[in-house]
Amino acid sequence: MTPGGWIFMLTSWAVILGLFGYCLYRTLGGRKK
Amino acid sequence: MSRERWGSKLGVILAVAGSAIGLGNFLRFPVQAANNGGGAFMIPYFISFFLLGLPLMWIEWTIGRFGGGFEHSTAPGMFHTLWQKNRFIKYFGVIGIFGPTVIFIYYIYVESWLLGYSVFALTGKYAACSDSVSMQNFLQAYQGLVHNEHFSGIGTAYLFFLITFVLNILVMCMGLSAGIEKVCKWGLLVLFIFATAIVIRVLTLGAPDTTRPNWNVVNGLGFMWNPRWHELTQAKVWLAAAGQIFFTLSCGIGVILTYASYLTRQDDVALSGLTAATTNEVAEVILGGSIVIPAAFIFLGPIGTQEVAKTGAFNLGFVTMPLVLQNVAYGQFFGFMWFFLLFIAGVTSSISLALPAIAFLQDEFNLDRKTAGIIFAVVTFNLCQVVIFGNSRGVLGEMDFWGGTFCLVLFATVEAILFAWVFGMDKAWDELHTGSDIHIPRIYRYIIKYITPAFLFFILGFWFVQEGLPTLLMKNVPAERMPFIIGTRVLLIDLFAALAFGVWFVWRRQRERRRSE
Repeated sequence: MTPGGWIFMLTSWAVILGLFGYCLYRTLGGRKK
Repeated sequence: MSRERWGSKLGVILAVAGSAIGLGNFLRFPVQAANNGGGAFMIPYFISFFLLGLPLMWIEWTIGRFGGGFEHSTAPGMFHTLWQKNRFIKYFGVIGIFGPTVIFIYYIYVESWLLGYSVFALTGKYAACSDSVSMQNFLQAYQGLVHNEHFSGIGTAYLFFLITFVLNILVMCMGLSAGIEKVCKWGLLVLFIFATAIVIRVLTLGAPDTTRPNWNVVNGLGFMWNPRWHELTQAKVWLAAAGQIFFTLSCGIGVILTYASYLTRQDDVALSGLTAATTNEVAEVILGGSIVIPAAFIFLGPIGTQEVAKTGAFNLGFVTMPLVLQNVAYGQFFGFMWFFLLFIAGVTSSISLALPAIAFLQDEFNLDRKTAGIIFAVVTFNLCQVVIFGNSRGVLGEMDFWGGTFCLVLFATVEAILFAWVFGMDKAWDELHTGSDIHIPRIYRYIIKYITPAFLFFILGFWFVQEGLPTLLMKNVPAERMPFIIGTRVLLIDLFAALAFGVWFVWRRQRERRRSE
């Protein structure tokens, strides 16, 4: 795998996991805005 | 009759995520990415996610909850409440019942194959198939297309179809909270555990063939993720990414409208829509992107994987994956996990597809859940026979085109325009934020109003020229299949007409009732 491949894979995973983690934190934590 | 409600906030999120997570996450996405620019595919993919997928998610959740407030669970009633001055908009809403019902009719048959293959994996029924030709023969014999040493007819496939069909109807008849919500909660848990176990197995395979050290897992991931920048200049790559986002999130079908209609006005839709969408993305990009392509690469090499990826996602799932998994330790068990996780993904999707028609019968004809479920079962069971026995004549493909592609794009375009332009962006924005647990960035006001509808018109136009027109005119249909394709179209028109008549009848009855009062 080229460095570009690693960058794309890890960045995509980071974006999705970051969003997912934020959503879970807000959903399960039940915090209001 | 009091309106059904979800048991918990997490329950509705998992139900929507379960509806979105399907075969496409594990089979279609990796093939699309590998064939359309590799890692570079993720640029148009994420752009489409933020400009098309998320706005459509929020639009559908909001319209659904709004319509539910007027005791409507399906699009005809919801569209009518959004645009009360228009007498015809409710007939556009019929697409929101017709589309999921048509998809249900063929999807449930494909879903039953996955249950069958789960059993075959455990019992070692396809273990004698050692190459793709024999595995293809096994699949065709199972479908009743040919007779050979594996199956002498369609009997086994029909038995698994009956089990799958009854299972789906039972879940529907159990109701929203006790049926759908429970199945989605436990189903998604099992799905994520199985998918994670298979990902770990694939990523720890290394290079099993010592004579070919380059056929290893890292190069397999590279096959999928190495960016091919020059392909980003091709329109087809951008269309493929937009199409993938569109289909993976289950937007434009009508099921999210129905699921959201069982929320109360105080329930959040903004965070819930975002959570359901990102749960789907975890299953698609992280899990789905780490299974089939790397696994195929390790055992077939770069040229073999390229050939398999070109033959399509379906072949990859039913032919390549069982062959690959037979070569790993505890292959029977991993084969079972692979097909059973796809079966669960199928069940959580098919129950959502059945709901709009059942909810329509409940709401508009005042039927109880069981009666509505039985009527739905009788009608769809008969229509499923057309798919099962007409599979070799292109019936399934024709239904997929109209129910699973045409209706989706058209319906999403109509609801986006209706939400942002007819209902009005000010009211729409307020409605979206009522009871909201997050504040959506203000830029989405402009994205929902201008960019998402423009994006949808662009997809609709391109799709119509590239695929719609040739399919409509039956350009590539062999002469012997023509009568079956025309017959399928007549059947679909009849189904649409019956639903439209149902809408006309209900509204006329309501009008007469109001007059007499």
